[in-house]
This record gives sequence, structure tokens and C-alpha cells, in this order.
Amino acid sequence: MSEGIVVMGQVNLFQVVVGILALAAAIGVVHSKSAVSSALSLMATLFLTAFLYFAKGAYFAGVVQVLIYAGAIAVLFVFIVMLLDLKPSRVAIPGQKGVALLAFAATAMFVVVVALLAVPGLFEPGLQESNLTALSAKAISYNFVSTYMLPFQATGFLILAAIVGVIMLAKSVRSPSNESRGEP
Amino acid sequence: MTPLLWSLFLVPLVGVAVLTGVPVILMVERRGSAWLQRRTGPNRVGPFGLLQPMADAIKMVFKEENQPARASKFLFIFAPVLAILPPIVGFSMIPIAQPFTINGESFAVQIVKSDLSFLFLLAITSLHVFAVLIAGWASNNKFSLMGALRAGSQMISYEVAIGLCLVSLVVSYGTLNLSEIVTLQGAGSRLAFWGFFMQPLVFLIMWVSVFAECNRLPFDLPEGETELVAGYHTEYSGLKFGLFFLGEYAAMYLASALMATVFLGGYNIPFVSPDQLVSFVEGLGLYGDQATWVASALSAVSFAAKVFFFMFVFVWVRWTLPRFRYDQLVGLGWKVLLPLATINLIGTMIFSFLQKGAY
Amino acid sequence: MISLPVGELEFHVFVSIALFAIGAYGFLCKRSGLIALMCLELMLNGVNLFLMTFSKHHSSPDGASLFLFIVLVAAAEAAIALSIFVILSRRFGSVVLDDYRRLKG
Repeated sequence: MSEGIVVMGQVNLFQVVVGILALAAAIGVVHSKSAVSSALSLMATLFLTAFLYFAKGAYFAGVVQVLIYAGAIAVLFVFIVMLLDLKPSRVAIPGQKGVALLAFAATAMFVVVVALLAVPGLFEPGLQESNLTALSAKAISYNFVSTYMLPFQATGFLILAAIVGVIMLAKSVRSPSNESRGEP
Repeated sequence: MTPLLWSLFLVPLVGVAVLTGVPVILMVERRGSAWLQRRTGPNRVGPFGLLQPMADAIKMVFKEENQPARASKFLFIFAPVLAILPPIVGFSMIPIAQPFTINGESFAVQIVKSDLSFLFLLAITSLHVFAVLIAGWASNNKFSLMGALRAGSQMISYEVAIGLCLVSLVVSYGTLNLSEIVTLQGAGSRLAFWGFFMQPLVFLIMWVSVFAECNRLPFDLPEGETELVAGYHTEYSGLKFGLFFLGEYAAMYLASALMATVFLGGYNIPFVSPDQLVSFVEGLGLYGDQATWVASALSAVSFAAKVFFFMFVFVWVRWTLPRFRYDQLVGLGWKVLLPLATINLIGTMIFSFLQKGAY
Repeated sequence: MISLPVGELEFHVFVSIALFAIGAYGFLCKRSGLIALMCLELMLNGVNLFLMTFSKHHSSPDGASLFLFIVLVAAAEAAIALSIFVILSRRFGSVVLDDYRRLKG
């Protein structure tokens, strides 16, 4: 775990299996019939991505991914979906050309980038021996309080604003009788 | 013996230790509750009723398994598995005894020796809530769903307080490595370095939050019998219920082990530093490696005693305090514990800045 | 561990772009607001993987720092967006985006 120097190179079987499972779970998010299985697939995707980080040696990123993404954001999604108890939704509205066009654009972009990946020598060789201390918690946190000090503070304010906003939204729910109901 | 081989040996050892600990605390809970309430308690199976947990386990294995109609089959089976995995995996991060040496080479009694073990532990335990949510959803029963939603909001609320406690502890210890935290607490054979004396407020907040995280009384709203039948595991029976039960008690063991590690000096024996312990054993006539083996075993006993102390308090509180109301529970988490933890964090930061200066 | 004749960098870039594309497809095609939000998280996740891959490739902590920023902003965004959807579903009785047509007049 503390070797420090790892040679970049071929992908191993573990990474391939985890990556493909993550993609399968991502397809599950889009294609599930019920919203709950979508949310659970989202959780699976986020969790499996964390394993990709672990395989890279980026332990701190993996832990943050599990703790915040899988452990908090995905829980929120599952929670809200269960709370609202949604009916299975329609997959897509037919006859909306713009949406179809955009979906086609997304697919085309994917195809183009994957085709580009096949070009040999596209990426710079990079550092043959990648130094894992650059991905350690210490290096990242040092980066936070030196290079990214201003964005760090700004993110703090953003989260404060989000907390206040959520509290205000939650308070507005409490008295629905006073508000005019919208059309269904 | 290589370190890898030792870790592989340690994995089943720790797993079995946790799983055998569950019947022990079950017995303590049943006899202890009877003692606290001036009843007799189960005393028919075996001498003094000691085989009662065994009988319970056998009953659970042979019970018929029901599956509610129109429930999601995969998720219904998946939830109990998810309930037992995180607490047992979490034990891989806990340093259980002080390191011993074989031919001068040091072996730590900890399965995963990571610099981020504290964070790893919290990350794994944060997945426990999924088991509850999935179980409640997959049961296709409104009481189960209500219990699951209660459990979800409760666990998320108290995780915030635990996260802030973690930051306070990290500021005062300066590391996220649990074995380093234990080493720091054992230094100098004084109790003053124990987390309990360094961060008493954090100790209190975390203790209360741990009760909520484990869904134990006085915070067992997710399974409040008078309101929700049995909460999220109403529809479960037989072995699947057994897994939930095991998972709940394993989570309590993990929480107790974490509290003992972070606040009560882990495997350290009070007033005795690890080196003093080794030299004490050497004074009994053992030398070299063997002295470290015995010292390691003694420290493991000390750790187990601390864990059992916390486990006993779990039982004690369960049979002493009544259940909270739901708004009281959430209010305690957000309006009392969270501000207290924040104030403590700011205080810790100021103190640490005055002590160490800017980095 | 068995190695496969595929570069690690290329594979991770492939996975991240595929995650992004799946997320983009779902975001555009799904009518349920909550599932659109989940697809948004998928897109962010793809970007995160991309950042981490190149952070390791150049062994620099910059990508990892940006990853953390994205995680924090995504947490704030999810909290706000989900509470908005709770209110919307109470008011309109659905989370399907096409049902919110009042602004169109």
C-alpha cells in the first residue's frame, strides 16, 4: 500500500471487470423501469468507480467517493425516490426532434472520442513512473490551501448557501394549505 | 511468516471473533435486562441458560422463510447481505493488539494498515444505511417503508455530527491512521493523551450519535414496535432476519471498537505504555519475541475489555431509557449535537493554532 | 494480476467518456426529473474519473483537487435540487418535467 512508485502501463483484469460493471450499472440508471432501481444502480456506479480509484492507487479520492457520493448523495436520491413513491415513468416523449437530435449528438460525441482513442500515440507518454504521493491526502490538501485557496473558500460559501437554501425550502413545505395549489 | 500471510491469517480470526462475540452479548443482554428489571431471564437451556443463544440460532435457521408477494426478489435477498457486510469489513481497519515481533520483524495486529483507516471506516459504515433502505423498500409493506425512511433520515442526520467529530479528532491527533492514533494515546503511560481526556465533548457527541447510528434505544425509532410492528425487517424471517440481527450487533461491536480505539486508548493498558508492558512480561521470565507475543495478547485482552464496556452500556441504556419521539430525535441531532460539534471544532482549531502555530 | 493488452490510460478514458455519454443520453431522454438528476450525477462522475486518470498520468494533485471540488459542488447541487423536486412533486403531484408547464402560459 505504501510502495510510492507504480509503473503506468497495461490495464489489469480487475480494472476491466470493475469498469465494465460500472458501465453496466450506468446503463441500468437510464434503462430501469422503476426510479428506485435507477437510484440503486446509480449507487452501484458510484461505488464501482471508487474501486477504479483504488485500483489507480488514489485511495483518498476513492474514500471520498464512497463517503460523499455513494454514502451521502446516492442515499439522498434513494431516500427521496422512496419518499415520493414514483410510478414507473415514460422513457421518452416521441416526436420531440430536439431531444432526439441532442441524444444523437451525445452518441456521436462518444463514437468520435472512442475512435480518437484508437489512434496510437494520441496521448503523451506521460511519466513512466507515476509518483503516487501526488494523489495522497497530504498533497491534495496542501494544494487546497495553497493553489486553490480562493475556490476552496468559495466552495465553503456555496455549501453554506446550499444549507440555508435547503432550510428555507424545507420550511416552505410545512404549510401547504396557505399556498395556492398549482394545476396537476 | 510474511506480512501478507499474517494478514490472511488475521482475516478469518477477526471475522470469527466478531461473530462469536454476538451470541456472548446476546446472552449478556438477555440476562442483563432481566437483572436490571428484577426478572429471572432465560435459565433453562444449558447451565445457567448459557446455551440460550445457541437455541435461538438453531430456531432461526430452521424457521420458514417468507417472501411477501410482489416484492422485489433480488433486492429482498440482497438487503440482509448488505446489512452484515459493512460492519464486518469495517473491523479490518481496527488495530486490535499491540505489534509483536518474530525474529526481529514487527507485525501489526491490524488487517488493513492504511494511512486513511479512520476515513475508510466511516466510508464503509456509511453504506449500512443502504441495507435498511433497500430492506424497507423491497418488503412492499408500508410499515417497513416507514421504518426505512425513518432510519435513513436518522442515520444521515447523525452522520453529519460524527463527521464533524472526526474533523475535531483529526485536528487534535494530526493523523487519520487509527494505529497511529492508538500509538499517540499510549505514549508516556499517561491517561492525559487519551481521546476521552483530550476531547471530552467529542466523546459525548460521538457516543450519542453512535446510539442513533446503530438504531438502538433510546433512538430505535426505525423499529419502534408500538408504532411500526418491527420497522424495516417486519417481513423478514428465518436466516434473513438472522443476518439483520447479526449485522445490527456487529455494527454495535464495530462502533464500540471505534470508540475504544479513538477515545479510550485502543489496546493500551491504562498507565502502562507498550514498551513498559513488554519489559514487565520480560520480568516474568520470558525473553525476546515471546515477551512481545504475551504483551500483544495482554493488550488484546485490554482492548476486548474496553469494547465490552461500551457493549454493556448499549445494553444498560436499552433497558433504562424510554424511546425518544421522532421530532425530538431529529431535533437533538441537528439543533444540539451539530452546533456543539461545530463549536468544539472551532475551539479545537484555535487551541491547536495557539499550540503549534501556523504550518 | 493478469494484464490485458490495453493501455490503462486509454481504458480509463474510455470508461469515463462512456459514463459521460450514458449520462448525457439519459439526461436528454428521460422525462422524470429525478432520473435526469441521476444522469447528471453520472456525467459528473465520468468527468471525475477523467480528472483522476490524468491526475495520475501526470502525477499532479491538481486533477484530484478539482475532483474534490466537483464532489462538493455535486453534494450541494443534489441537496438543493432534490428538495426543489420534493416541493414540486407536492405542488404538481408528479416529477415528470413535462408536467411543469405553467411558465409557458
